[in-house]
Formats: sequence, structure tokens, C-alpha cells
Amino acid sequence: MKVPGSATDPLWFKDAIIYELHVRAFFDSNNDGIGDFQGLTQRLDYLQDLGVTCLWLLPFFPSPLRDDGYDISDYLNVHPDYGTLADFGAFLEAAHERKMQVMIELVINHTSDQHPWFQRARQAPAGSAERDFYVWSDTDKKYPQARIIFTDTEKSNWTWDSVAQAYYWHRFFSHQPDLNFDHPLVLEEVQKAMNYWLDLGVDGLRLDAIPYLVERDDTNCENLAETHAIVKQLRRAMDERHANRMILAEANQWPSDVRAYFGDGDECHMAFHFPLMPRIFMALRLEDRLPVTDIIAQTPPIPATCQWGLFLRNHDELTLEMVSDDERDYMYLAYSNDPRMRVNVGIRRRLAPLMENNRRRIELLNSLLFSFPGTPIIYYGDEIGMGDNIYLGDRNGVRTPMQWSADRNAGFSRATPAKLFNPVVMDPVYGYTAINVEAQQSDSSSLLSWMRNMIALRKIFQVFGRGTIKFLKPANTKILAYLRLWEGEAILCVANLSRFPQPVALCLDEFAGMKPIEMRGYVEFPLISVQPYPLSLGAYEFLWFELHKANLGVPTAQVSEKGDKYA
Amino acid sequence: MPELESLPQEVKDQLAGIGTPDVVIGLTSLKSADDLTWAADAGKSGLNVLIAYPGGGDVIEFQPISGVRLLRYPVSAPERYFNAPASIFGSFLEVLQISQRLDSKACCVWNSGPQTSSAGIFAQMTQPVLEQKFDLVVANYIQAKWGALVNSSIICPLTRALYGRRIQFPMAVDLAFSSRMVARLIQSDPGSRLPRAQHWIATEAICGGMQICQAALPMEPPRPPESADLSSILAAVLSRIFSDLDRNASFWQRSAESQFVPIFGEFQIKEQDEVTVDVQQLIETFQLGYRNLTEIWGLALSPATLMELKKLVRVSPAEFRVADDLWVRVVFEFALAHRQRAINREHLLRAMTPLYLAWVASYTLQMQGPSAESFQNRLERLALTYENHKPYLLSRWRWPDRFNP
Repeated sequence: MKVPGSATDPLWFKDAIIYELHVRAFFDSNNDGIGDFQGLTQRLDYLQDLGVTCLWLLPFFPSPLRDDGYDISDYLNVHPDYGTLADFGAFLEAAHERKMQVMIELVINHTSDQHPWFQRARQAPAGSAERDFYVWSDTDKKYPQARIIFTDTEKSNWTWDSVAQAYYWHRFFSHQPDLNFDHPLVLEEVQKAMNYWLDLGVDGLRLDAIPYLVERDDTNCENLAETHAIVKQLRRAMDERHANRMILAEANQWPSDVRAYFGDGDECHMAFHFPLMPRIFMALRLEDRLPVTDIIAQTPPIPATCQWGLFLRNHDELTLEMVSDDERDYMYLAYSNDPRMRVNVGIRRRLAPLMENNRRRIELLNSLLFSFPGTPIIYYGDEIGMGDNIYLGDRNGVRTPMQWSADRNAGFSRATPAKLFNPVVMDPVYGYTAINVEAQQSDSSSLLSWMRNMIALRKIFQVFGRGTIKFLKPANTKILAYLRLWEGEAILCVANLSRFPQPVALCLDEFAGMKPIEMRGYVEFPLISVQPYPLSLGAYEFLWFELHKANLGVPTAQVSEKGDKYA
Repeated sequence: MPELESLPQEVKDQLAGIGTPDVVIGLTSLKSADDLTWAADAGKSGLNVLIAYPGGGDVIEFQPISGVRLLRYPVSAPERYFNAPASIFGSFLEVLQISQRLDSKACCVWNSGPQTSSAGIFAQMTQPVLEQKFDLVVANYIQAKWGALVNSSIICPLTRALYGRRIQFPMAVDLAFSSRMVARLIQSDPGSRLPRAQHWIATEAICGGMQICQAALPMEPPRPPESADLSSILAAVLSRIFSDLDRNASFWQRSAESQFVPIFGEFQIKEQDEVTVDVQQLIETFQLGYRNLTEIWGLALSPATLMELKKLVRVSPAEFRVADDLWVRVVFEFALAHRQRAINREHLLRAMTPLYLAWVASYTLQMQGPSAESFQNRLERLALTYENHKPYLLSRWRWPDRFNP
């Protein structure tokens, strides 16, 4: 018998609202300056109230923390800074009690160089099973077609190890050697780690850096058939023992390449839609829908049991790998006037600063996030419009402590401020005295209240998570208009990408005779006819409509109608 | 979905030796052997019947009747499943489990105690399941001008407006189920992980796409226990309805016009059921409530609603009328406040009592005298007002904001 998950619907992830957070940055319960599982558990009521249904935890495993935990030194434990396995178990139970699923990271492309496997490998003789847990070479010229991902810090994908007297392969930092999936024991160990967390009750796994698992000569070492075979094997192993779990692929690739990670519904359940994200920002800045409609047009259909993961911002930079050179240049000019805002091939900023703290722009982008086909993922702090700190190194500027209140350390910790793992944001616009949960909870007009309402609204309509999308093509290209359709339900979404009011006439003749009802206020709009449907939208305004049959919603019973009252 | 099992081994062992009855009749209370004797008359209908009765004390002596078997089952603690007095909603999870274990075609849960003819009543309740493939049969009691006013003023019209089904007594405590419905009710709810039977049965059936009908019974609706005061009954009923609104939001927000629900049997109406109501006292209770509860009402009700109530406080008893749209707005706004957890939910719901009494006073004044319209027409108008005002509830539910008209 399979071990059940906390969700009863195998496709629960299609209707989910995912909230990404770092335990370290969320809430500190023991006042050591570092967030922990007990602290996160204490704040679950806040997340439940916000309405999110799935928590994605960034890596919390033992690690030297040279890459914010993505350099794992023990797959089967909790970093002591964050608590114990028992604390994790209590958190998991408390989340499930609140009907929230939990997704954790499965970072299998590489380990920390401090992992016992690597320490053992570098000491072991060449050709031995221990040595072959990693990818070694006598030369650093092998696999020359493989690009370097962390261009700011790494000059090569190979690093010399003086103990092993050989080069080892790493697609990311040099302290993160890649595991060798040609070695059967590696996959076996990875499956053990996977089963360990799934047995504990974890509902989802985010497979980090999935395209790079296998290397082959004369290739760019990405998306290889052998890599897909590994993913399929992991999925099989998961399905054999566990029910209603989910795998989310991190594959920063073009849609056609990512499509392969869904397989025939036998690889990953979900995958991030990386190219869509920068194009949403581009469309907004250009005040033109083309970048969005173009990338959606390039997105192939996926199996019915699979889902795209959509996000505006996350713990990494706003990656610009999946755009053209011209588009990248434009994005840099548009969104990172200070060079400190740039890292690797992207922009390390949070949503609110990218929008220059314009509430209407923030709302508009979130409306797209909530209404595009896929599961929305919210990055912690973005629901209150937190800012960033571009003076911190790497991507730490967007990984600052959650701003709970105007108290010391933003209410995140009672520790001496100098002990915090990262300083809190203190500038006058985004600092914790101006932007914090406590203030926004008591303000029904706050961004937090708005987010809560939007999440609740989206959850009422499964069409958002499960339906198809069809773009309309009004002459005014500053207007993005699309239909979401599912099982007879039709939703019309219209968004004004411009900073000025815009008119639009929508061709809705296939819905002639139907009545649009604006979804937030349940306001009836004029009937649709075969003529173009005129609307005017204010600056950055968006409208969502349910399309109802015209005779619905109006009671038809008569007071004295007895004949049909009783059968 | 996991099923919850609360039957003790001893009962399971007994069930192993029993064949498959046509119908399991579950009595949820038993005062004396006479109750069993009454229920056992169901065997005269020719059906193969198992009567399950609650026990814990002495075994009751019983004269055997052909086609009828008895089974004693232990009662689960009501508070395990119900956040309300057991006598209001009943507790019947064990009966459902027995029915499912025996694979019976129908299951009838009887809360109301002995009535006139058990054979007729149980046939009325179970035939729609056995012969017409209905999944849920809801008792339709005698409708009286002054009877079951909580049902008439809130439960029935609210169910109709929100869930789109015209069920006269949506919270009837006498019910019959198909095996399909039984299976659904003993499954655990994905959210609470408690049996679905803990929910409001009628909406559970509606949202689950079950076929529902009503059985007209020649009996008055069961009265609440003597020990229960109006505030607790109102709070318990409203709590159940309002909590279900949250759970079923994606259903009722997309359900439009209401549909008729078939009734089997001859329904009865008591139009001339005159009772003495002290209207003055009801109005004074409302006025006292206005003086003492304005702060709580202010958390739930919009300024326009409060304004209407303020005007109502000042009118003479002869002119005292709670307009339908005002009453519906009060109910909807309390539902919204319950969702928002504006204050402790129990306190909130109890604070609605004086408002309900104001409605009763108004209704009484309208219904008195020979020229009064038929109470059915009066209540139908109220139900239509609920339906017409549903968009108001929807808009405020979807976009909560304290800044309301």
C-alpha cells in the first residue's frame, strides 16, 4: 500500500497557491538571529490567513552555507541553526493541520565539497566506486560546449583538487561538485534521500538544477536523454511508494526544452515557466502585450496531469538567460540602472522595487500571475511589498529577514541586531518601519489585504489552475486580453499595460448573448453581442469577468407558483 | 479518501452474522421499549429491515417480528463530530457504518421518536431511494404559520438562494440515504479529516451532485430540546450554515437560479395555526439589544443596515416592520462577519438573537388577522429577496472591505 500524502486530490498542485520561503529568514524563535522551524510553525496562522496552500521551503539541510544551503553536506538532517528533525516534524504536522502542503528541495545535481561523499571520493583511488560518486577528469578541457552559469564568480566548470590530483566537474560554484549519475550507487543514494523525506510526509519536491544531471562529450551537457531517464526513474520510485506527491522541475530552459521534463506525464508534475517571467516585466515596461503573447504562443501543450509553475520573483535573480541579447540589454536598462542590481545573467531585485513601489503596477503583475495558466508562486515578503538591499553580496539582497512589525529587527528576532544572519531592510521607503505585516494586517487597504482577497478569489475558480488560455487580439496592443476556459466555465481577463487610460473593443462574438460579471464586486456589465465589446481601463487597471448565460442569476420563481413547487 | 471507523469490534462481530437487509433504520435515541416496538412495525411493509438502536444500558426485551432484526450499537460522543447540541442535529455515524457494512440498499436515520404509523413513514422515506434512485430523502414536515421560524426565516431561504435547491426543511433531522450517499458521508472530509456526516447533510449532498428529494410526513417538525435556549439554538444553526459557506464557496458562488426539489407524498399546511405571541416583548428585546449590542453589531453590520435598525427602534409597535431586504442584509452581513472572524464567533452569532426576534415580531404583526396573506406567499417573497440579494453577499464575500455603504 502506498504512503498517502496530506492531499487527497492527486492533482492538488494545479489548484495550489505556493508560497516560497526560507526558514532562516522567516521567524526566529530562539533569538539567535537566525530563523528556525519553531519560528516558522509559530507563523503558520499568518500563512493560513493569507490563503496560501503550499509552502516551498528553500534548503534547510546541514550545509556550510556558501550558497544559501544549496551546498548540502547531509541530505537526511536539518541544519542545527534551524532546529531539529523533531522541529521539522512538528512544523509539517502543523502545516498539514492547516490544510497546507509542504514542498522541499531535492538538490541532486551537486553536493557541498564538505559532503562526506566528496571527502571520501577525493581520497579514494581513481576508478574506485567511492571516487566515481563525482565527475573527474585529468583535463579541464572536457565538455567545452557546456556554458558557465555563475559567470560572475566562475571561470571554468572544472576545478583542480590537489588531494585527488584531478579536476572535478561543477556547473555552479566550485565548492559544489556535481554528482556522477552514471554511477548506479548515486541514484540509489538519491532515492534513499527522496524516500526519507516523502516517508516523513513531505508533499512535494523541487528538483534543483535538473537539466545538468548527466554529461556527455560533444554536447552542451544539458537536457540529455540520459538525464530524462534519471528523472523518470525518480518519478517511478516516488509513485511506487507514495500517493499524491509532486515533483517540480527547476529547468531554466526554453519552453520546448522544458516540455520534455513533463515526459508523457511520467517525469515531473510541474516545471517553472522561466521565459515567461522576464517577458511579463518587459511587456509592462514596453506597454505592449507582444512579449507575453509571443512566449505563450511558443509554449507547447503539456500532459493533462502536469502544470506550469508561475512566478514573478523568487530567491534568485530575475534571470535573463531565456531572452535574446537585445531583450536582455533592454531589461538591464529598464530595471537595473545601478550596476549593483545585476548579478550573473540577471537582476537581483524584489518585485516592489522593480515596480518602483507603484501599487497599481504591483497589483497588475499579480493579477497576471493569478490568472495565467499555471500555479502561482509567491516569494515571501512580496505580499507586503518588501524591498531589497543591493549592497549585500550575491543574491542575499532579496533574502533579508521577513518584516513582521516596526519593532526591533522588524519583529523577526529579539537578538542583538548585529547577530542577524542578514541585516533587515532599513531604507525609508521599504524599511521595516514603513513596510511590515502588523501595519498591513490592520489596514484593509494594504497590499497584504489585497493579496489575501485575490488569493481567496482565485481559489473559488478552478478554471485558473486547470483551464486553457486563449488570447484576444484587440487593435490596442497596450491591452492584454485573454479567456480562461474549463468545463463550460469562461473567464475573461483584460489588463491595461499602460500608465494611461486605454480604450479597447474586444471581439467576443462567440459569447454573444452572455452577461459579463466583474468578479471582484460581482457587478453585471452589459450583455455581449456580435459587435465588438467596448471597455475602458484606467492606468494599469485589470478586470476579470465571469461570463454567464444571460438568464442565470435572476430568480424566476413566482410567489404563487404552486404547480411546479411540488412534484 | 479514508473512511472513519468507530464501530467497536463487538458490533462488527455481530454484523458478520447478519445478512443484507433492504433497509437499515437507525434510531438515534431510545426512551423505552415502546420506541422499538413502534419502529419494528416497519417490517409490516414487507421489507427486510434491520433496526439499529443506541444502547449502553440493559438489553431491551422485544417481541420478534418477521422480517425485522435488531442491533444495539454504542453511541459516539456527539461532541466528537458536532459543534452543537446532539439533540439538534443528531449523531448517526455509527448507523451509516452499519448500513455500509451490511451493504443495505437504503439507510434511514430517525431522530424524531415514535410517530403515527412507522410502516407508512419508513416506506415514505425509503421508497424514493429503493425505487427511484434518489440519494438523499429529506423529511418534509407539516408547515405551519408559526412553526419552525428559524427555518422559514433563515435556513430554508438561505439554502435556496445560495445552493440553488428549494428544500423546505434543509436541516431536517429525519433522513434516508442511498448506499452511494452513505459511502460519501462516512468518508473523511479532505480538510477537517472528520467524517462528512458531521457537515450539513443537505449541502453535502448538493455539492456532491447527489439526487435529492423530500418526503412529506404527517408530523410536525421536531422541537428543540426544552433545555436549549433560543440564543444557543440560533448560534448552533448559524454556525453550521456559515461554516459550510466557507467550505463550499466555490460551489455556491457559481450556483445561479434555484431549482425545485421533488416531494413525495401529500404535504400538509396548517394555515390556521393561531398562537399567542407577545409581540411587545419581542420588540422590547430588540430595543434592549440595540442599546446593549450596538458595539458588536457595528462590527458585523454596515452603516446602512445599522441606520435602518436605528429607525426601527423608534417606530411604534403597530408600525414595526422588518423589511425583507433589511432582514436578508442582516443575515448576509452576519455571515460575512463570521467569515472575517470580526469577533469571537459564538458571541457574534448569539448577538443576532434580538435581530431575529425583531423579525419574528414583524412577521407576527403581518400574519395576524383575517386579512393577512397566506404565510406561504409571505415566505416565498422572503425567499425571493434572498435570491435577489445574493450578488450583495457575493461582492462582499469576494472583496472584503470595511468601507461599505
